Amino acid sequence: MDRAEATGLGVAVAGHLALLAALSLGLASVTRPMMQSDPIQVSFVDEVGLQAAVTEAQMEDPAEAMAPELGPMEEAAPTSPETPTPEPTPVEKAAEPAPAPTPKEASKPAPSRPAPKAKPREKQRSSRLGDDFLKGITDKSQGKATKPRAAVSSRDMASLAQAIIRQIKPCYVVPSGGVDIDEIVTVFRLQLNRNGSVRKVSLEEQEGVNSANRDYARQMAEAARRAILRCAPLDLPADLYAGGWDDMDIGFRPSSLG
Amino acid sequence: MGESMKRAALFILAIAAVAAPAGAQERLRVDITGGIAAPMPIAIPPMPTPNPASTAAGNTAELGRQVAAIVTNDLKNSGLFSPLPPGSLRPVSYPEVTAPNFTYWSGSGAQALVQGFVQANGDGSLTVGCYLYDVFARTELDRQGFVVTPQYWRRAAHKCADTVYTRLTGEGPYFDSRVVYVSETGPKGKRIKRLAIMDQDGANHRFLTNGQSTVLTPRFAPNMQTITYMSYDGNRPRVYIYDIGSGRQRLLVNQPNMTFAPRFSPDGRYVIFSMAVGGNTDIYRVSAGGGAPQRLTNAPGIDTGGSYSPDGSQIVFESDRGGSQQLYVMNANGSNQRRISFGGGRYATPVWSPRGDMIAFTKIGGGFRIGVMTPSGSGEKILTSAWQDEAPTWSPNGRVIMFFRTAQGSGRTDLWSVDLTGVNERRIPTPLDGSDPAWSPLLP
Repeated sequence: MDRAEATGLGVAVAGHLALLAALSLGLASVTRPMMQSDPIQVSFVDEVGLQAAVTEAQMEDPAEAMAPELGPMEEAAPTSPETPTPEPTPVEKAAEPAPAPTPKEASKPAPSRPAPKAKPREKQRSSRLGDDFLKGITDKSQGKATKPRAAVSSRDMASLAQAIIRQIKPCYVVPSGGVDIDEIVTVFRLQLNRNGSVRKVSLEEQEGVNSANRDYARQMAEAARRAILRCAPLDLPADLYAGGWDDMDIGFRPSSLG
Repeated sequence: MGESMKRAALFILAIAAVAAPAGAQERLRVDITGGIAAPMPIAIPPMPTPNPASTAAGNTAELGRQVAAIVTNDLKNSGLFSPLPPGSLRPVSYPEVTAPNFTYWSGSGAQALVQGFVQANGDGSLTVGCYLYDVFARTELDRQGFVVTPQYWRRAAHKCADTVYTRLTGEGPYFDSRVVYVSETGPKGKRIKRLAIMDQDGANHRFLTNGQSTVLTPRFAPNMQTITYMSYDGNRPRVYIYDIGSGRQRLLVNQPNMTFAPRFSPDGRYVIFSMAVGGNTDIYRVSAGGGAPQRLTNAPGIDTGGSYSPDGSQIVFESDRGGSQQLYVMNANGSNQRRISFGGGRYATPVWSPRGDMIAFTKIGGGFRIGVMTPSGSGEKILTSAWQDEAPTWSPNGRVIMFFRTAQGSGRTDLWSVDLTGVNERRIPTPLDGSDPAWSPLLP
């Protein structure tokens, strides 16, 4: 064979040998993550805090809560005190009860972006627009124009979450033995007053409800609400109220017990 | 000029893109996993009556107290509730029944409140009203009214307890049901066994047979008009159908062979049973009215203990065709027979849960114990650990298992029950000893 062929063959052989070596040394292997079957208690720090926590009193008013200031704790309609009318059949619902289904929150807050990536840009002095054209937006205090929530650092968020779990979990009593109930995650939105008492608690959503556990979904939601109401008022640090525990989502999930 | 305008416009867009998300920080999210499985504290004060009146069942004021007591016992015995002691509860006035004093009950520690009333109607019937409230949310959760003839007043109380139970747990009801079992008395080796029937809480107990011939494994028909069992009448063990109304029994299959372990299909049209033919015992199916039996299994050894799935499509049974007693599942027509028990040891007396998700059985090996597994054989869990527990039967909602326990040495037998999760193991009081219990469907 000629030189070109020999060179090509040599390169091919060398390449194959290199690949073989790489594979046998595990350099190109794929690791599969272990599947966790049981839910474990983890707290995610998912706020990428690119700015430091505001510890001094640079406290602006937090964003207006979506609910009115003195929202009612429950949405149940008052029941009229009528006696049930007797019916001839043994089992007859005498009057339609008025259970308290909680309306889903119509709007969720906009999904978060990570904290602003860029420092505020320098104004472009040479434009025809006035110097103070962008005054409100470039104000260093976090964009007053959109009434944002004050910043709480990611580390504080994580320790806040742990404190809230410690205070509410002892009141979280779940009827056990239902089919597949540990699949159901019930999320409540909880808004607290500064003294830790409940201003408003409302059901946000329930995930994991399937045909097997549908019968238990309501009881799961009620157990979660009861946990919040029983253990309120909560005792949490005042300096983390605004933007922290004034308005939060709590997800409840029964683990498989017995 | 155009250039600087363009730059200004871009600058504005850039600032807008940055400033808007700078404000929208996400809410704090907390995740709580794992709750406590504790019984729910509940208050069931004595029920008032609008007009105290005398009825065939007693005075309505006294009935109000007893209805509250029945509801209290049903909920307490389920293991999922802890009722406040009835003696500690102040009586409730009639107007308060529909307008509860939540402030008072919040301080009592109860999370739920049951109030009601008993009223005598002009035609001699009784009305029992039943209201369930959430103490924390201060709302009404459910209300039901039941009109019954006086002899069935206890059923109204059980229906009220069922209303409360289902609303607070999400499970199906089971308190308004009955149990048939074999009542036993006498010394070991000379036992007298009689068929008996009672409410699931032990009330309204009645003997059905006189003990002249031994009766085993009684089971209800789905419509609860008849019971099937095996009887040694005439010293030949065979399956009979007993009519509760008339008190008369008839032979199910008119053959001389030994037949035993009968069970109805969920629709009541068929009875499956075991029959020994030429030294081989297999499972057969016959129309509930009688007729020619149809063979479902045909394996060497003993196939017995057939139990239908609640949808009637499959049957679980025990067989020693593999060398030791194990559990097998097959289609209702006998096809696709496959073993499901592989946990080591021997398995017998399988019963499919009315909820469909579990099969209860007796596990043999170092004693007899009650266990459950899924219909595919996974998730095996042993629920009891005494010397000899056997013959499980399910409550109508598939939540509670009743079985019988033999005491070591004395040989005394008693009925016991345990929750599906293994808690709340308790004895069912019976006038004499008891064995072979079978739980009825829910009464309509």
